[in-house]
Amino acid sequence: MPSTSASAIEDLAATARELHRDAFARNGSAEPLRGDAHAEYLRGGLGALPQVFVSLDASRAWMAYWCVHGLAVLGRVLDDEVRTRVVGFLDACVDARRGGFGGGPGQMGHLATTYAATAALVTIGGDDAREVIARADVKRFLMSLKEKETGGFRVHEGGEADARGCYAAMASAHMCGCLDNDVRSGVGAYVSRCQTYEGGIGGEPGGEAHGGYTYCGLAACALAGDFGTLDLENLERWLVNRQGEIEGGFSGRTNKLVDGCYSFWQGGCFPLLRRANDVMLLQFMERSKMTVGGRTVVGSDDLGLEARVLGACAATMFTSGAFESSSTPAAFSSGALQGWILDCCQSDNGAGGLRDKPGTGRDHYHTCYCLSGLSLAQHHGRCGLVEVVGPAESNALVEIEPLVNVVKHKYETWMRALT
Amino acid sequence: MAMTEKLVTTCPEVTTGWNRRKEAVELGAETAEAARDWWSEELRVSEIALRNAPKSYPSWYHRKWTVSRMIRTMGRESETVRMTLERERALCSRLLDADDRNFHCWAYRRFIVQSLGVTTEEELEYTLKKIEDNFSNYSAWHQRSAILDARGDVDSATLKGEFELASNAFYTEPEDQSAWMYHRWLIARARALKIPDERDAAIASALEICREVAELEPGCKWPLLARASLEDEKSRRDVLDRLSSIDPARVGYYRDVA
Ligand SMILES: [Zn+2]
Repeated sequence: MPSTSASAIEDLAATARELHRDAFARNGSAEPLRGDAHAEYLRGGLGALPQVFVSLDASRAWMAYWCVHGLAVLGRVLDDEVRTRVVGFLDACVDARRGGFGGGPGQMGHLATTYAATAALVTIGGDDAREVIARADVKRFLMSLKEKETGGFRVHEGGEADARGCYAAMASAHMCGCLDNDVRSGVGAYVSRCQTYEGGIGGEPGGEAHGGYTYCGLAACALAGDFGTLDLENLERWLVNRQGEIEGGFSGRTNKLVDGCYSFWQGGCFPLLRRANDVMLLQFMERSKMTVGGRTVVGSDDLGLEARVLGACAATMFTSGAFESSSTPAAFSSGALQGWILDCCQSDNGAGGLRDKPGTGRDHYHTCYCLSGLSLAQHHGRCGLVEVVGPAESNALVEIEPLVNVVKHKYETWMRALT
Repeated sequence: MAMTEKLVTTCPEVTTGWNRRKEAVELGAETAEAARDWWSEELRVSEIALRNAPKSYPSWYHRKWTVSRMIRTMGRESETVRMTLERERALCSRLLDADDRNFHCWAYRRFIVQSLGVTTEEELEYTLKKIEDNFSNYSAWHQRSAILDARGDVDSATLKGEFELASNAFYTEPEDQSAWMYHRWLIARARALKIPDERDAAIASALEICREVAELEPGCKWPLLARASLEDEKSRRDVLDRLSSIDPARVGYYRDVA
């Protein structure tokens, strides 16, 4: 059985068209978001995170992130008891010998789960969450996995290196306050080698472009402040063509079916691209001492930024939003993406949880990334404007920071305290 | 070893289990004879893991690690290595019959055919068969680009044949994006041709075909998208205007690039 025959793509488009039509007939718009049901489903995921004991499941740190983040995007607050239990659980995931976080207590440190645990702690916030992170240990862990020759990172001791590793390392370092030149050097060059002629980024040189790697590669470059020789124009061309015109969602690869989780992986690239173009423009102006509004641009202080552009961490300016002023629509269709998530990715019959596509079951991973994608479509479809499809009371979500996929105000609070 | 076998075949994501096995192999593989047994054991175990979870990163990585060790220790010419590589190629074919878009498997296959010294023609033949089975299978198209690139510069005769293959797909199913994506690689390689006449001729004939398909299929965006990167400035604007009207979901993008 071919996994993506042309007929499978047609079938999914037909199903989506019908769901969109039904939703419109019922609501005059897209489906309302069933926030309460989704929150309950996510709370259940945290409940299933057992007390601290050693198990084989390597995705429990991820489970903590998916649920904590999903709830934060829905604007829900964790009960004190749950909050304390999750912080304790993540603390038990620390691999004291190597320095990172494993997928569960007693497991070997892994870059992906180090990112997940850190992002969950940033979302939870507070002193006890901060205390779990030992900056020097994280730095030691990252450097032990860095491949000096290529600039890439192995995902764990004795493991493979790929664009995921780069992203997890950059994002963890950024949130732990140890993103320095040792950590970032060579990342832009490494990711650039993984970009294919399609425009997207593959897992390794020669590989096929893939939505997850594309987000990871682009966000890693943005965090490192180094885009290497990435062809951003070709990247954008690939991205826009991943959005299905009837379904409204994104597929992960050339000629694959649309899938809810790529709402974030592909959709999250658009705000990053826009900022990347601004950074590159500014770096160009810096080099050539161009003038802006009659003034010679010497440093970014002139433009009211927090940091100088060159030599400073680009992530700082990335998140300052200094350049996002025009209200032109983004290159993707935010309305269509919201319609896909609301009409096609919510579970059937009013149940909580979101899914890959109609006909598949819900899971916590897809619930997290569908909600993240919905938030970013609302907040990044048009610069400086929030556009919510469907009733705002139920559908409006909390804004996320696309660089790290953490709720923006929690991220900002955390980073301000990080000195 | 029995314990880690149980662990990695049921929970392949537990990297500790794979690492334990790697350590044991390193320690145990002191003589060439002993090493051979250890390696075949690793291939057996990781195959079970892959049959249970064909998209597990650690299982694929462990397999590649094992084969790399064998090659490094015994050399590519060794009969044992050659036979192993042949078996690996057959395993890839089996797994790709089950899921023709498994990118882990395609990447591993590239490593195997390269180690085996399979000729470019032979692997092109394989991808052609996969494309004929299902020409929406972009991974097989992509494999063609990867193995041709691995051989070095692509000459104009090869390009001519590849352009024809893509064109056949355009005329059969113009809405299918796989061949159109492969076409972008062909254009990039045509632009890299060293002899200016050959280069200009290749680009001109590619453009001609895109114009023809666009005429035959006025509602199809792919030939127009290809033309947008081939036409001169004035025609390019017209093409982008037409794209905006037939593909309104992406007007923001067409406006950006205009
Ligand atoms: Zn998915």
